[in-house]
Amino acid sequence: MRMNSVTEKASCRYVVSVLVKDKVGILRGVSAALADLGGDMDGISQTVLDGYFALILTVTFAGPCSEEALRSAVQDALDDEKADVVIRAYDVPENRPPTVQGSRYLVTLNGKRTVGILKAVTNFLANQGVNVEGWTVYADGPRATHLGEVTVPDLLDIKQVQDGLQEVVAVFGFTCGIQHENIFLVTNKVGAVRPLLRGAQHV
Amino acid sequence: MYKASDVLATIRMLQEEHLDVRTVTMGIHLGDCIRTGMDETAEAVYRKITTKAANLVRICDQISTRYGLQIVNKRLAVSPASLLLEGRNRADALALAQAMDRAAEAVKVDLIGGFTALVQKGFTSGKQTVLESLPEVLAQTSRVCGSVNVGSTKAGMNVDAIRMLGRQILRLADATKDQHGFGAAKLVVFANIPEDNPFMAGAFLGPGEPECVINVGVSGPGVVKQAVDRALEERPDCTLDDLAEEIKHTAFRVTRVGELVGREVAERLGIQFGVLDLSLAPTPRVGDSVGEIYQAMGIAKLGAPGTTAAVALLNDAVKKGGAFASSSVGGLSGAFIPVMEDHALAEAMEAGTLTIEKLEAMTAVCSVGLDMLMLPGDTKSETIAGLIMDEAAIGIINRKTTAVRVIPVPGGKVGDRIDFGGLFGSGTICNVVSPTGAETFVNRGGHIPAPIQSLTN
Repeated sequence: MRMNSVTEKASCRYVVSVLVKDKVGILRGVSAALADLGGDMDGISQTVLDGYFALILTVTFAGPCSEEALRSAVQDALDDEKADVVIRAYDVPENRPPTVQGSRYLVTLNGKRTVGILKAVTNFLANQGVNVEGWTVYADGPRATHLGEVTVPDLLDIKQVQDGLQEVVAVFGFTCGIQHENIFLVTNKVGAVRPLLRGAQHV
Repeated sequence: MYKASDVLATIRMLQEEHLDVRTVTMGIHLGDCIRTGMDETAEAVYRKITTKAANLVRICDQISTRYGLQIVNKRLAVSPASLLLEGRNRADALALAQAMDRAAEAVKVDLIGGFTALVQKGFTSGKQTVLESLPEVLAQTSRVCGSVNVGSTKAGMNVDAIRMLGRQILRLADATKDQHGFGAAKLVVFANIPEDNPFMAGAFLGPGEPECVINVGVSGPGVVKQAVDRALEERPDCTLDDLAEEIKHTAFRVTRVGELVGREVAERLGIQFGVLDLSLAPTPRVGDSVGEIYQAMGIAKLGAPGTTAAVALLNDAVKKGGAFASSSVGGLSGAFIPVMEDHALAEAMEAGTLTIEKLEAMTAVCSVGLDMLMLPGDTKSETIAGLIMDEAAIGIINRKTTAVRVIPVPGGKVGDRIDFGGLFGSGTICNVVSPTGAETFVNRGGHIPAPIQSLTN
């Protein structure tokens, strides 16, 4: 999630990631530590998976702030020796082109839990130039459902990608789908359809 | 970020509950194809259709792949043939229909509607030619569908046309007796015909429509039925208003799929998007039946008292959900009850719990009328005309579309089972309780005046 920020052009921006056992108040602690240093958190993505809390955020400071001071403040706020904190200076250029120029699709996989399915699928997608932007696995007893958000390059024939993916997952006894995200947007969200079609090509 | 439950619900609708887009129908205006001679007119019609619709199937197939969604039928609807047949004869009508048939085949669509005449207020020579040529045209073409509008709330009812159609339907069935009278399944007689209906056999491009337009018909009886089942599983004691609410929400999702597909097809073809028809259109498949929805709601025997109320509930809930989902609703938009195309309805007819008379009552609150019913081969033309008059009266008085599509099966007797195959389904020949007795009334002919409901200004 990227938020608008008044300090967009400040001189000092970092990417912070945290991995720690889940408990109440982790985000409060991290956000307090950053705010006390004068940091504006302009993008946050956080989740809890099977008892572990994971966070990635970007933070911008109006003035100078060292990497060490930042790490120390976050580490102290977590109050957990085993917490992993990674700090990186933000060095992705502004107005960068997207990693892949294409359309957003959702990948769904369903089948009996098995080792290697994700390796095979992501290998196939990477070889096709398909960028994975989100992936979630939901285990339900012996079965697993994978939900992936990907960008498929415009030049690819989606039918070939679908057929190829089908072949890959069939080996594992899985079923799969790769469908443009619009079908999920229109069936689950209230809003006009027409804006979703911007860019639909005339024949 | 997507919720897994939302994504999986959509996939379940597509893969397990038979949600599809039933038809993407391209409307094409043919008024500019009129030439001095019929050969030239037919050639112009062929060229225009094959040019306008050249990419229809390809684009639909691409979008179908993109969304993992079946677009079952790609079809065409053209201007009423009567416009092109003024001053022409039956041979000309056949030549025109054959050009339409060839064009439909060339662009790989299965049906083309528009062998049509609107005669609610009277005849012109072209309209007369359409009605006179219906038996040979629909028997000698494979893709052409016909429709005739015999009444409207504004104009009243043309009984002379209805009498003629009673005879022509029998002739059409006889001309296709080697197919159990299947030709009659390609002809619908309407009151208050919609100008933008995408569903066959009644699709045509009305006089108020643009040069070229995409109209879409969604489906989804299976999705609605599953939604009702789930609601009852979670709350076995849920009330009818709870069920109406569940159906409304489901109809919203179903309709949005059609809206997406219709707009994208139109956008890619560079033509106007017209309407989305909300109709729940069943197929003979188990799990894709409107009758099953009524059964799920608690009508164990279709046709039992309460069935008409169930139809009304379903029809209203579908409209409410669909109207919010789409900015452009049109066509027939309701629940169809085509007996042969819906296995639950067909079985109820065979069991005798559902009768033609009960179906007629249901048509007062559903989207169309007596649809895909087989009658005995010895049915009199006056009986068919009387059925049409009754249905037209319901439509005219209630300001709604009603229609009749009956198939008198040559040589067929009550109880005989006929299978047309595919989406047309199968069923049992049935009859009205009193097939005779209204001949004198029907044969008076003339015109039933427009009702008081027509005076709305």
